[in-house]
Amino acid sequence: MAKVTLKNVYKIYTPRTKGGKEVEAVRDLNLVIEDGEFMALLGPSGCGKTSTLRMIAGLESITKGDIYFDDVRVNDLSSVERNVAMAFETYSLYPHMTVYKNISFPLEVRHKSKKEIHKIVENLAKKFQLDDVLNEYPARLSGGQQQRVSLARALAREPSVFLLDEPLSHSDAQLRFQMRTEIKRLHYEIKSTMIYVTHDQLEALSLADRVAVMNFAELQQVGTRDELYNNPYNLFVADFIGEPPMNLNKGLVTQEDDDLFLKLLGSSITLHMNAERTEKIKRLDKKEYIVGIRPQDIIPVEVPSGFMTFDAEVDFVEFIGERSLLTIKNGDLTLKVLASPDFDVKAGEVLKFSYPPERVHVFDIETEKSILVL
Amino acid sequence: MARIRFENITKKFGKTVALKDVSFDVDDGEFFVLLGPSGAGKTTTLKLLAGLYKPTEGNIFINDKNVSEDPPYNRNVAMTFESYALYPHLTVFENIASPLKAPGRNIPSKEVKERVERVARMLKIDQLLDRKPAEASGGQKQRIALARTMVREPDIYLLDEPLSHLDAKIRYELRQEFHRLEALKGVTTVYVTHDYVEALSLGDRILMLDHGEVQQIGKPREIYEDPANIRVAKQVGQPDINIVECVTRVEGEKIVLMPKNEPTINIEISDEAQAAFRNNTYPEVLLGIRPQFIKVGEIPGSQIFDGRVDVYQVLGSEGVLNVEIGDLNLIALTSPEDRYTHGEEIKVYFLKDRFYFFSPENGERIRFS
Repeated sequence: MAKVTLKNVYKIYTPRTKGGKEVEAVRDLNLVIEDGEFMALLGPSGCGKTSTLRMIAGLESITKGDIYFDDVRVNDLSSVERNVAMAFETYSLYPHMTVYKNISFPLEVRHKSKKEIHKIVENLAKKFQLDDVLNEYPARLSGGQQQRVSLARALAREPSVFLLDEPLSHSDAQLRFQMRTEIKRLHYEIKSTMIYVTHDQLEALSLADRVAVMNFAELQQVGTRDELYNNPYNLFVADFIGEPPMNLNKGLVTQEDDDLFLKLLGSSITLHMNAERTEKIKRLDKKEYIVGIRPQDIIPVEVPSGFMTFDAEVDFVEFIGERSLLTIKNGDLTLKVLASPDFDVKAGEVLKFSYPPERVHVFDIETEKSILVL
Repeated sequence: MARIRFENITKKFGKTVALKDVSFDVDDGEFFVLLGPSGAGKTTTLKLLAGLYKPTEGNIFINDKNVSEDPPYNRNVAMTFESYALYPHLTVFENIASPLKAPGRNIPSKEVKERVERVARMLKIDQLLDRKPAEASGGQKQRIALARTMVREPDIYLLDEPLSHLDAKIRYELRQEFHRLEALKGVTTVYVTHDYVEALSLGDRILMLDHGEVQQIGKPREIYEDPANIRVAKQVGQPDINIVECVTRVEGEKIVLMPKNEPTINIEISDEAQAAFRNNTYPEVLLGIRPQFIKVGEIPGSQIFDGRVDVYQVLGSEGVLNVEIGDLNLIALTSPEDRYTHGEEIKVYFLKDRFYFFSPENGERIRFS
């Protein structure tokens, strides 16, 4: 097991044809993944997450900067020398080998004794519920089983770093859910350093200890689920993390006596913030900001203490099973609100909505950064 | 204006039965969703409606006219496919206009232009009309395909998984758009999806299809809250409904459920359920508990279980807790603010009024009147 450190790492792809442009896939990335930590690299396609993973794995050269495993600089070491294990998006199992052989093969290559190998395979098979299919060939297995074989094979080598590249992206929603739980359980048990690449925020947030959010080749923010949720550094992170997405609207700074608040453009809704943000706005002295509030932070009832309220009309109600999603409007503005499915409301009703002022996010319009980091 | 009626439709491909005795009605202007896992027969149903397949048995009516043998061009239905099937060498405008330029249509080019522009504005792709499809994003391609369907102003829209290839955020946005599209309101729409959230959100009514058979037809809340059988209960809801195989047994005065793989506990059930299970009417049942009806903590009057935290995942607006009660591993939904650690001992209770019971033989719901 190892701590992985990336220092000022760049990946630049040189043009294949004359006159073509260089492509910067990863720009000046600094990231520390602690020993035993589960880190997710999250971002839309083309953000640089897979290039980063491949540089850590030793499958891709590092254009500039350094990568360390503990104190050893690994830039010039091969994948094998780095002792990393990868489970890929495509399972790439050996089709002519049984499940047993698929898992044991990497160990045989490493000249482990038969007895030792047998013990490891049996152990993993039990953990991944593959005991019944050890003698089957991959083609006979379900997608989920193949995925588990792929994971078991990667683990058999006791790697110092375990890399997973979108391992669940080919499964349907229900299977993904089950597999996610298994991977989480697995990390409790093996406690090895894991780096997990995904474009699916639910996967990243639910699995990882910390999530590194990337976009346009750059690291946007790294933090725990709570940090990303409650304190997004910029508009990209605010918009990318959260489902349904955060309500984002322009807000005009308005002051009445000592009271400072943001009036949402196109509506009569005024939002109050916590003291820290209010102070910051006073100091920054700009007229307009982007204001964000999450659908689950607006509550369709009046809450007595610590909450502020505004009025809005229910535009439509979507019942989606575990929850209801309300679209509410005030003037030309619409907002999304999550409600309990038992909440009895109809389109056209005007209600009071409550929100905790500390959950109102404010971003600078030009830099798109949270005012808290300005 | 169109009503649809499927009357005892069976569709076979060689020996494979794709649809088995399927009957349903769609009202004029209704948004009707066909929901089911892959291979359920959803797309076959759509293609029968479009006239691309003919039924092996049974009849299809549009507005009381039997169209079972009619070719597609006599039905005035428009269908979008899961793969958008856009012409890569034509501009977005030409793609959308293509159905209007079909032989025999003879629509003046001024009207074509007006209709294309109107539908493009509505779907917010008017800025793309001069470009090629390759320059459009996934969500835009979807809207171009939709525009091409809508430009014909058909009697019936048939939409086959229109959102399935898009990422979560665009799906979410387009779902909102479907709600707002005036053009879709008032035109009978049959919409195929495997995604229960889409079905619940969009459908006036839902037909749940599995193995080529109708499992249930109903409004979204009926499908979710009052499932006809275990297949419906499993298809709608995430995380999956917890299913516990149980034996009914007498414990003193009470009838209780004993989980087969954890015989040391007895699960108490409502008085109605006890009455129904007396006299050994059901020696075994499948107990279904939705994750949101398993709660952490203790409240007076509830049966309290000793649980142990297995896995806990915090998502956006909820936490998902795998909790072990002896050898039972159940999934519970919690508030996203809650925190639990692996191995932690917790107390758990169930909302027993929200239990579902299914027959172990055929998976049908056991109801008490």
